[in-house]
Amino acid sequence: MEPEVQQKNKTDLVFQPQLARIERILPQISGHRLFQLKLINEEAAEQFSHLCGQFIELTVIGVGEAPISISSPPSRPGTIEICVRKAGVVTSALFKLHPGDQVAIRGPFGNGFPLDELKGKDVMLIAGGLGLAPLRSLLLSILDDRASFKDLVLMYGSRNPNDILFKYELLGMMNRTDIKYFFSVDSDDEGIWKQYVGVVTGLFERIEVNPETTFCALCGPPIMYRFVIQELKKKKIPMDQIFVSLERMMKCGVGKCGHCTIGKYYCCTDGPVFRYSDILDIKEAV
Amino acid sequence: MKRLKKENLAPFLEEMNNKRTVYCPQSVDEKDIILAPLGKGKITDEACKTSISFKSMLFPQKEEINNFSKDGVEKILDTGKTAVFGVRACDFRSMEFVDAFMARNEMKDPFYFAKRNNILVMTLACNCPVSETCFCTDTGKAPFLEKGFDLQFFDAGSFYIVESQSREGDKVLESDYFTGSDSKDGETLSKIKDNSMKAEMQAPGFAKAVEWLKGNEPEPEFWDDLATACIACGGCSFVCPTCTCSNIFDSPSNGGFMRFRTWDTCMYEGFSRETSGHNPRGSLGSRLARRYLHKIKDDPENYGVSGCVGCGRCSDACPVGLGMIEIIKQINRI
Repeated sequence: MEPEVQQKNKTDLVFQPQLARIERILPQISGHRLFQLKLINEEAAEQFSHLCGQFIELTVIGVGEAPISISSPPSRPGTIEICVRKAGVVTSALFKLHPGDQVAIRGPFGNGFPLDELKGKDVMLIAGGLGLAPLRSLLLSILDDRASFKDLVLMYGSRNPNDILFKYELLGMMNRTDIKYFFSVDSDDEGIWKQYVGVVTGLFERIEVNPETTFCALCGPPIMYRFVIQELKKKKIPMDQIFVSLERMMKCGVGKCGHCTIGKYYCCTDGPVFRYSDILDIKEAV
Repeated sequence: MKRLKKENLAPFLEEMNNKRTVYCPQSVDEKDIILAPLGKGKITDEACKTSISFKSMLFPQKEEINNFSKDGVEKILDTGKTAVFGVRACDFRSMEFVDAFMARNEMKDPFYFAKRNNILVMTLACNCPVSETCFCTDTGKAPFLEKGFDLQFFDAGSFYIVESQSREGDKVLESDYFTGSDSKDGETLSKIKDNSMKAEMQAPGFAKAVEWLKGNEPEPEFWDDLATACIACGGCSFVCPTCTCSNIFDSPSNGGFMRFRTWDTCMYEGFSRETSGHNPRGSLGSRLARRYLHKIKDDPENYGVSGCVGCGRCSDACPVGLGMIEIIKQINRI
């Protein structure tokens, strides 16, 4: 898929990290935090725009760089929000930083979800775990322009009730009637969960969709895709109405380093969002 | 068209070395013939293929790319003038391939093109295969160039016949070391070209395999079988003139930090592994498939040209006898 927005002077941005400041750090669930970043150069901060589903290359200075999806929607510019799990060298170093500290970012990179194509359609967002991070950008984009879309469904599977990301934000939307929520948790050892216990695919029994007008966006752990897509097939949703955001080791972000290839595609430039019908035949894709 | 006496090659290159840093194949310490800056060893007349192509001049094994200092972050662009003599047609084509790759998606690689825009490439056509593993003609190309070059040298015995195809090339030919061509040189050139095309090379099944791959793909077991021999050393990628996979890492430097880019290879287990531990190419078989299929299946599909130029270096370097020549044979046996 082609990026919808062409950036100005693309070449100048390639391999040019820009300094940014950590504005706020909001705790999420255990081992996860939401970082609000702002580019230090005011002109650059003003010009920064992204598409939902795009990512940045985040540098913790002196430590290294990692690809992180942008969680904030394009409709709320100014601050770049990233929801990060403490997992490797770079993210562990990031968790040691404080508001006011500097990092560097490159990007945004990748193609993003085709928001315009989703307009006038029923939209189903299916997230597993930290897969909600890029989908939150899409979710908020849709909510900020709610009238442009038809039915909106969010399905979100977590490991247990304590692992629900953006819990308070989601709670705050609970009263809205223009979005349907379905939550699942893999297990509930404490016995506090009133909703569905089991993997996210179990939620599909509870919904009716119109396959002709329903478009889906998926993001979650690697194991999730195959099973969810099976369910979507059962619902007769056409393969070209399913968009998957895939994770790969996107080292350079600009299609040069080769780490993120998926068949003939480069996840960082051709993706990370793929129309499922485009990658059906690529064995290693999902 | 002009002539250059072979005895004048070294003085000519030395003259050029005053303006640009000149690299050419040399015998260094009487060991392998390698591509080195002039003066590092002895220029040899031996027909040869350097163990590493001149990609290392444009895409070095390790290079500084960003400097993180208290003043901010800057790109480090190496714009020094260079020249290289003795580039074979296969390696020149590999550069054309990498040029297109490094410029795709309107995102030109700044570090590559800083060097690329300042290099003068002088190719030396092959009169015959220069090693046992050559197979350029099997890939449908010639051991000499038809177009796109600045200067192309042909070995005509005691002298070179030199063609120019650019203003830059014409300027070089103004040097006093070059003399006018003889009326027979055109004929000599045709003969050299015809003869060079007749040589038998090592991968006659190349075109057949590429054609088959257009609609087919070997089963995973095919690659798993080959992987029992592969030791994942990555040598095939490092010597490949079209391989440009890279790693990026940061290191302390002068009170700040330097970001480096180095060669990397898709043959390594950690190459595509994500921080979560998920590895889309965890098996060696899947990595072998990636390495070879993208050259001769995906690249033709993506760019319309083969990612393999038939230099045979992967077959030279592989310690267990894999490499493109063997892969082609195996694919044709399916």
